[in-house]
Amino acid sequence: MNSLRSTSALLFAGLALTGCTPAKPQAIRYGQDECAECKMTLVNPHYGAELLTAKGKIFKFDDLNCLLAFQNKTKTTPAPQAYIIDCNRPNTFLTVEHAIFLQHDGLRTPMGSHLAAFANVTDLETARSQLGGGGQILRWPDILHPASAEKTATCKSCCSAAQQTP
Amino acid sequence: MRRLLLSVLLCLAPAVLSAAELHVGAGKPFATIRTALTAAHDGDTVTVHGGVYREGNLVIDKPLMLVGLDHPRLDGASTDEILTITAPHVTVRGFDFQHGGTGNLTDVAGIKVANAHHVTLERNRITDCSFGIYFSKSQDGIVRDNEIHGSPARAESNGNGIHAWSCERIAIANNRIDGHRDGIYLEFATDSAIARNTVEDNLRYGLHFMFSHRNAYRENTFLRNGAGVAVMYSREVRMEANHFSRSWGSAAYGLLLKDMVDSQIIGNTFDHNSTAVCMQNSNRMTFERNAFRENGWALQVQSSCTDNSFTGNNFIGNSFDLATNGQLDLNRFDNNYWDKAESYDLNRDGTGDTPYRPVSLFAMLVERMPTAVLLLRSPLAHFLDQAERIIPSLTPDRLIDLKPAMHPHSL
Repeated sequence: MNSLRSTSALLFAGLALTGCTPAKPQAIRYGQDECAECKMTLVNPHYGAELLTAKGKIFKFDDLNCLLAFQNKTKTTPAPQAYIIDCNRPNTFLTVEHAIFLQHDGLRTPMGSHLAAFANVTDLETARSQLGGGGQILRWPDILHPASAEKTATCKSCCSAAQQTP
Repeated sequence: MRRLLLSVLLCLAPAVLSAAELHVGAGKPFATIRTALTAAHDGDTVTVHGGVYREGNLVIDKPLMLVGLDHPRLDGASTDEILTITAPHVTVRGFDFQHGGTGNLTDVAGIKVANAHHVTLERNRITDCSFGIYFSKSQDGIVRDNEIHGSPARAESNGNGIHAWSCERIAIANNRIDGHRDGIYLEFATDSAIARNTVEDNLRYGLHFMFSHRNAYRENTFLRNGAGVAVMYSREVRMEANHFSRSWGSAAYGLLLKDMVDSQIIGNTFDHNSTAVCMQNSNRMTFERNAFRENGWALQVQSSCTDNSFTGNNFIGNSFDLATNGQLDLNRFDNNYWDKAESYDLNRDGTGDTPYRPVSLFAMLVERMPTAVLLLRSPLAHFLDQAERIIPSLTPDRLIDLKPAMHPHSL
């Protein structure tokens, strides 16, 4: 009887715990997952992003401009948390507020945002030297509000690859 | 007359004679391709005899022909880009490219053409390279009769078979491509033609267009590619007489059209795909004389699509002919053959006397509740569809083919 009670207690505890797991981003299955915005299958492990809503719903994106387009369209409140893949570490997520971004024409991102995220300046500079230098360093607010970023950096094609049509 | 001809020939002779032929191979004047390329002048031909050449990254920076006899093998030892072409008017013919390197953030290819016009790549075999052939900021290129085999084992570092980025007027014909990420990928590439290629078993798309306008692709075969073919964010694309087959899976489409405008889809065959055509946010598209056979869904058209016309197509043996999440009343369906239309033709004019509604009630149900697909072919689903057909109430009322063909069109 006692053992039954403890087992059921354990079961309940287990159930309760699974219900309360803190929401965190879900690993991207490259080659299988589909971008919630552009519908393309995610394949490039250097890039990827996720939105996590307050209700725990997860949306995956292949490129940062897809995430921004999706966010602008849906405008859920409270605002979902955005995560971005660390360009140097496959399937490691950074919160966008803590990431630093390199925008460089040599970065061939899936949807042409030319934006990659890094955990620290050293990583970013290594990548930048691999690309032969150049590009812009941006923080999340610069990406959200490209107008304000233009004062500090000349970010020409920020998040608007779609406008690159002739 | 003969004297005139002779003098013309004599005038031409210096031009012909000035183009030298440099031979590379065992016992030939040049032992390595690199030394021959350095020694060559504009317009020369470098002829490479059979054998294995491991010379790292070779660069062609002047207009010349590089010709392989007996398919000499250029081996990149899995570290290098094998051949980089930066000069115009270069032809590369008849080589085996093997084991190319992989870039971390940059794209490394078997053959890369960068900022060069009028480059022709023909009758080459490219095996186990990250990207097979890569055109970057180039114009008037020709890629024909090549065989490109990727290595799926490369997983994420596996690139595309033929990739064109920021290019104009590239002709891609008669190539075979398999085992890559995307078979053919055009990104910001315009006025190009893709014809008679066989593209199969690639990990993602057989053919992929992004922001690539005024292109045509015809008579290609796309078979068993992971997610089918995706033509996106482009306008004025003509897709004719292609075969889209066996794209199976939840995110797989024979043809995915997203943000497309003013394009024609004519005379294609779609068979055995989970979804033959999925359309999102696409307008003024013309579908004519296509055959949709034995697909899960023949058409999935989202409500964001307007002004599209579907005329003279055959819909045979599909589980669902059309699914939509809206009314689609701004799209036209005319004179298609639907095997599910149970119409009659009393005036014998070849078209049914009653209109056909291609969206079944059950298709609408499944659209809202995908798990309901379990009930496919159940008596209940059949009953619902029949009832709806007799007294339409829930299906989009203006989504009808007024003159469905009684017999399949001969396509």
